[in-house]
Amino acid sequence: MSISTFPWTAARSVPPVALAAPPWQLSGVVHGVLNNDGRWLARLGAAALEPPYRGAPRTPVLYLKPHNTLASSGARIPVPARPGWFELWPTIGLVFGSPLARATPDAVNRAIAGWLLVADLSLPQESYYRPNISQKARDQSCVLAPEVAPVGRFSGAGLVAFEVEVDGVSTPLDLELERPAAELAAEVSRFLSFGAGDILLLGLPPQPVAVRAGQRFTVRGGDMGALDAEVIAEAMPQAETGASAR
Amino acid sequence: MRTARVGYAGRIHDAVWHPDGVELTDGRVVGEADVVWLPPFAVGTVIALGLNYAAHRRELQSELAVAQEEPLVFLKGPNTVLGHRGFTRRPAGAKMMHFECELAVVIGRGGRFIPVRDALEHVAGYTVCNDYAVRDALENWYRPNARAKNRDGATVLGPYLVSADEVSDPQALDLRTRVNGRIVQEGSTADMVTGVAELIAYLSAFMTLAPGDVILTGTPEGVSNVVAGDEVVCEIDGVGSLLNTLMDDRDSEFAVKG
Repeated sequence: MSISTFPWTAARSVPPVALAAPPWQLSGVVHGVLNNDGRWLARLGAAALEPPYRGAPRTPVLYLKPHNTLASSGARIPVPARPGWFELWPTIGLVFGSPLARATPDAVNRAIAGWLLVADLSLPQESYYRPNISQKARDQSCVLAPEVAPVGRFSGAGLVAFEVEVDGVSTPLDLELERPAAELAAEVSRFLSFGAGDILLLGLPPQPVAVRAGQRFTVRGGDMGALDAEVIAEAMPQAETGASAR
Repeated sequence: MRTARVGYAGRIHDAVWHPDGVELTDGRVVGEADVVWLPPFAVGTVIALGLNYAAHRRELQSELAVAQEEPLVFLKGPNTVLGHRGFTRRPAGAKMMHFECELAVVIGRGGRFIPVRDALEHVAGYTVCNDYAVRDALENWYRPNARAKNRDGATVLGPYLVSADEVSDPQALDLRTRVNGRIVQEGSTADMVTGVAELIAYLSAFMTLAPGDVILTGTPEGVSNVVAGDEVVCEIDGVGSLLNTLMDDRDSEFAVKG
């Protein structure tokens, strides 16, 4: 592999998402927060106090959706035969209009480009002790709505209501932001700087909706618009791989 | 080939190793200290392994709450990446921030379901990584969590990308860390629990790997605290010597008690 073919300048394409404000395009960097709706943790109940957790998280729990996960509305998302289904977590992302580090909530508010409806899919997670990369980093598992909603369309605080329709059956879900968006982003930015076009997913609703191979889904986020996608059976290779992963 | 990316005289250059420093594409030879070192490749997804050396697992044994069945994998974002001869902010008030000398494997040809027997053909090359950790920030949710591992400047990469053809066996490399000139960590990639080819097969079984994605393959025992002003050199025989200096960060969240 010679340096002339080397990926230094290779652009990694980001799914087409319209952004009518600086920086006019997404960077492709997507971080998310697990625990910004108090009901999410409450659902774990006493288990959160037992090993391995030994207590509720003291700070926002972050995860990354790497570039192989990014997909646009209309995607076909492969799920492995075992377990054969995804947890679909609708959420909303803060899109950064400019770089931020060690920012105050006011500085964050001035830097928001807009809000993006996102469907964050993962294979079922039995535990949150380890980062669950083999569940969360599946190809196409971060579906982005087609357009970033303008900053004025959401206050960044309070309740976000979603409707998740799977094969025609609708489930309402909502996300109650324990930390408002600006406060959450400011806290994370104390040690992790954000770039223009980055996304910070603002939390997970208390529970997901299950979606299996062969099912289509639509996520509606009120003023945030809608996205849809389809889950398909993952095509396994014919030859033995020499490795296994769930 | 040993290739680098450096900033010099107003632009970013491709460069190759030279006995007197680096040689830019246009032939100019510039001293190592006279350029700004970037990571030697366009960094895609950073996939890091924890507990991938047997002795280091024993070192942290008391912290292991559950048995280890699969490789422990976590991701680091682009905010963390830093080049050779850079400065990483060391949060004032944190009691334990330690280096981790790691062999970094850079993907050249991507793929999914890569068989172990083909895996090394997918490697563009190797570089050195120092995968810092701030243990004070560790929590038991998605552990090792971002506040411990994903801090700005916590993933030091370089100096050179050594092409795969120059590393005949990635499982036969001695590595060490020096702090202020004294060796504090030593090991060999022979002691990896899951080797490079197996890691590529394991990861590509559940996610598509792309050119520029990089696997940080873990660190042996011997990690220890470093403080502001320390010069940390992570060295892997045949791959390179990566220098990083800690600088004091009085503005860190650990400095605020409450």
